[in-house]
Amino acid sequence: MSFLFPSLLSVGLPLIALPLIIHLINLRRRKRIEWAAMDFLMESRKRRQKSILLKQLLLLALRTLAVACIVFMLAGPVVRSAWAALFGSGVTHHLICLDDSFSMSDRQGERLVWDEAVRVAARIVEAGRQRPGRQIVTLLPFSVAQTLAAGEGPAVHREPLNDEFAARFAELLAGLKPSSTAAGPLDALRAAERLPQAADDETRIVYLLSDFRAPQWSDRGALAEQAAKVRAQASQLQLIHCVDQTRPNLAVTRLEPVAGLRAAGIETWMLAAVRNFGDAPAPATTLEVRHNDARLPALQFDEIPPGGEEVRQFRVGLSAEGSRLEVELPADALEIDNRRFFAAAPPTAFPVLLVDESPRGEDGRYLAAALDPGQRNLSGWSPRLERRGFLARDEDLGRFAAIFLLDVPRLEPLELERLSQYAAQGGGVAWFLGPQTQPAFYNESLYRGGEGLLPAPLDTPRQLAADRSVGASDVQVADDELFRVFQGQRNSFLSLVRVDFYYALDPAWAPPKDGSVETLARLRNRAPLVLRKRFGDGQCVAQLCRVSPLPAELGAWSNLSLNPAFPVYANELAGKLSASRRDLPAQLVTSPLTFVAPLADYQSAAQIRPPAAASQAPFPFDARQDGDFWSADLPTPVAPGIWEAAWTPREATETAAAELRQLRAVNVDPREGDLHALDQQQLGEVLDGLDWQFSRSSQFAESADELAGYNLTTALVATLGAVLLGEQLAAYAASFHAAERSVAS
Amino acid sequence: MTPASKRFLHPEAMARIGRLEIRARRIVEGAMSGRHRSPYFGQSVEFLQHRQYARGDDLRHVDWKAWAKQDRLYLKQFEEEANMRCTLLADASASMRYGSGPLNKYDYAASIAASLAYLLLKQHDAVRCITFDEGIRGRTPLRSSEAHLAAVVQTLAAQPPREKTDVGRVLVEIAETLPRRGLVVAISDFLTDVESTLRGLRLLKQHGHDVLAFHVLDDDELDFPFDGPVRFEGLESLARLNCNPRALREGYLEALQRFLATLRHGCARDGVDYMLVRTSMPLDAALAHYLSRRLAAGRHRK
Repeated sequence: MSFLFPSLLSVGLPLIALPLIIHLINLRRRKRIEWAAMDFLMESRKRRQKSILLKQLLLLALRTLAVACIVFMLAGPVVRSAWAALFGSGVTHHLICLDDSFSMSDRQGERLVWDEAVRVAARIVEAGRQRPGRQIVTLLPFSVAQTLAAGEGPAVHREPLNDEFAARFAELLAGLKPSSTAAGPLDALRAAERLPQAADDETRIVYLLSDFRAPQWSDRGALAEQAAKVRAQASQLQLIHCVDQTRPNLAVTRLEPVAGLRAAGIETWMLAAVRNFGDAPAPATTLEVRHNDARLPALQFDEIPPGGEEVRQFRVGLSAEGSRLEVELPADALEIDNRRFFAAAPPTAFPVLLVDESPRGEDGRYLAAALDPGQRNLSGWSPRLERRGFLARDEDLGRFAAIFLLDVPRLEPLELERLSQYAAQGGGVAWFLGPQTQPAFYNESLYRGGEGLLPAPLDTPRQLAADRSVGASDVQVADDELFRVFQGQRNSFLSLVRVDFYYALDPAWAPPKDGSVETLARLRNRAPLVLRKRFGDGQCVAQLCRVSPLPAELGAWSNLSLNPAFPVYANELAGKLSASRRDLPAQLVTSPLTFVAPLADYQSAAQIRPPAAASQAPFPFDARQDGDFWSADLPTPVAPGIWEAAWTPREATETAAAELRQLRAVNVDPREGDLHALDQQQLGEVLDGLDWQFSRSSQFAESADELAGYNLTTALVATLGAVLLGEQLAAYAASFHAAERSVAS
Repeated sequence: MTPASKRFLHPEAMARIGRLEIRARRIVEGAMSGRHRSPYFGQSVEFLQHRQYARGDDLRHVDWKAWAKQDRLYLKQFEEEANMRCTLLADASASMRYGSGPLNKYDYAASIAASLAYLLLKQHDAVRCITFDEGIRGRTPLRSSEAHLAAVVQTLAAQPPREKTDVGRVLVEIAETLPRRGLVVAISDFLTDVESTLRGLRLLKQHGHDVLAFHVLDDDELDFPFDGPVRFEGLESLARLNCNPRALREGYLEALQRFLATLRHGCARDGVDYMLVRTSMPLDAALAHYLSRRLAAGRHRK
């Protein structure tokens, strides 16, 4: 016989002597009574001595047996199959949860941590096959557990351990590799709990083969709770640690544009970040950079402190046909996180909408010229001038990187609704006020008590008193990137700016205390000139004076648009407003990878080209229809690298759309690069109060061998019930329970 | 109380005497209220003398002729009425020390004896009191004055219960030493050889005495209500017994019933007046119950 919880047995065995100890204690605690009628007592004892003694011995034996039943029951006795035949069939189910997150590809000399885990898994299966009784096995990789639905089983599920399976299992293990995911134990434990319920006579042993990296065990509460649920279903929980020591590791954690994607041909600043996950400073290293397979100057990193992250920037001109960026560190303990990818096919220019209601379109011309000077001056913006009715007519404002409204008196409800929707979904809106601006409408419909698109309520236009003293500047700017061109003590651009007329704000208004409205520039008299507020996922900027320098009814409002720095200001403003629309979301190996093409222009099958490192040939993929688009949803997880999708046009004519090529960069989760592993004590803190066993993969012994057989717990429960019933009857017979009193008269 | 009595009486004894005396008076007064002077104390036809009527005397004994002649009330005293002799035997052995309530058996027995003494002395009968254990321990002379009550009480309170009991031997000794017939009241728990006790009582009857047996037992001795592990230690023996009392209760009660039945039947057979008294029963109720029974028995004999 063996026990599932031998520790409970060692604690409980001494308790079996408890009834005897209590009996002996009671002997010393008898009440002493001086009695006159001793003769009657002695006569009674003489007649009943034997019967009393027998009853008391029986009672003591039953109580001792009851305690023994409880102790053995809690210890979980298991008998081998020969005896198990008396109780039932008995099945031992080996549930192997195998950590295949990419940290398992940590190299230990010539072998990976993964190889150690696979070796242990094979040993568990082989040992199970040698044992008597029915043995079955389930193999649950962490990455598979992430996507397993409730009630589903993995590929290897409740397979009987026989010779045929053993051969098949060896081949299966040989073909398995660590995934590129950061799947953790929580996914595996949840999937284990959701597996189809075991039969009543099944003894389930759960093995957790893992490297127990600290980031995967950060959610302690959830892990402890889930482990307890799995443990309640299982007879034993074994944690098998496959890592002997923590090795240092550098990982590339970021590769992204500094300030959002720029148009093709425009130099884009990119940043690359390297983090040192080790416990010692990492020596200087070099990060290789490749753009479309061409090497760029490498980035040099000096010594990186432990836990620190260093960032380097470099410039690259992205191509409209598609740019593939790849950075790579030298090989270390974990290679998969030494590489990071970026891919984009930016347009030649980002369209921006200028809604211009100024007289003769003067404001729009000045702004459009600043955004797109034309000729050889590539700005990356494509301004489109329209009247305000365009807001209501156009169905897809979302294609514009930013929207500027110039001297617009008012908006119709539908126009306002479309504009609000655009901003709320991440778009940037800029207001340039002018002589036609209607403050009453702006305050009521655009400011709306602070809930609208306008940052602040307007008052009437004011004139700024002239001050021609040397060095005096009409405008003071905040320390914001928008006005970077005006920064610096020796910057003379700002001193050239003149503002004669501006819209004052409602004197009763004060900026909200939550900081949602910022004043980016002020006039000499402290009145705000440029304000910004967040609106939904987007933002709104308001300049309280006219763009055009030409005189209007009151006079010339400002000469800002004549300033040499104005195009820079306009470009920065467009960049700021459009940043969220030019950002590319991070794509991890476990994130859904979807390619989309217009249904009307392209065929349904997309040709998918996996990354070169995936060792996978290009393959066709049938997209599903999603409204007016085809949607190719690739199953996750996918290999890291740059994926490409090519869509074939429906018609092969000159007027038809060209072949559509799309790029996606998929990266691993950089947090998995932290190779710090929890030791037995730290695991004990997480799983405090839970009964589990721990072993190192190098020292793993087949202690589970003893756990094959039939669990006697149920039989002991029934026995305990019978013993307790017998104990009560014996106590009653031994007169330990109160009976009716017959009184002598 | 005499100065000599005071010298031997401890304050505790004095308090007990006081309680006994008061208790006895109350009991007797209660027993006598609304009742006739009990003929229980015998009535001889031999006229002895007149004595002046005292308030509370039985009007049946008033000499009406003398009243008619002298316009004063006189009572006729008969020889037997004036010479009623009562011997009170109180068991003062160790077994009488047991008690589960405010009074142990000895206190209760002594209260019965003092109450009876009070009653008898009040009607000018002669009373002597004897305490005993294995033998006679203490005794008072036979007197009939009311002041004799203090001596009775003092004898009862003289020493605490101790030593073993031999009721039978003491009864035989009393039977052989009492010079004249009278009333003998034995107050004991009779937890000794029952045959020896019955022999002693029988002998007293054979000598012409009117014998009363008050069998005093504690509620615990009659009900045996004990629970939990107990170590019983004999009061008059070296016997020790560790047991679960519940296990022995049935056998104990059976043995006790046999003992009580033997004693009751033996007394009935020999004409001894027997009454079993629990120490939880109020003294006045116990005494009144017994007196009423005697009254009824007396009328029945007439």
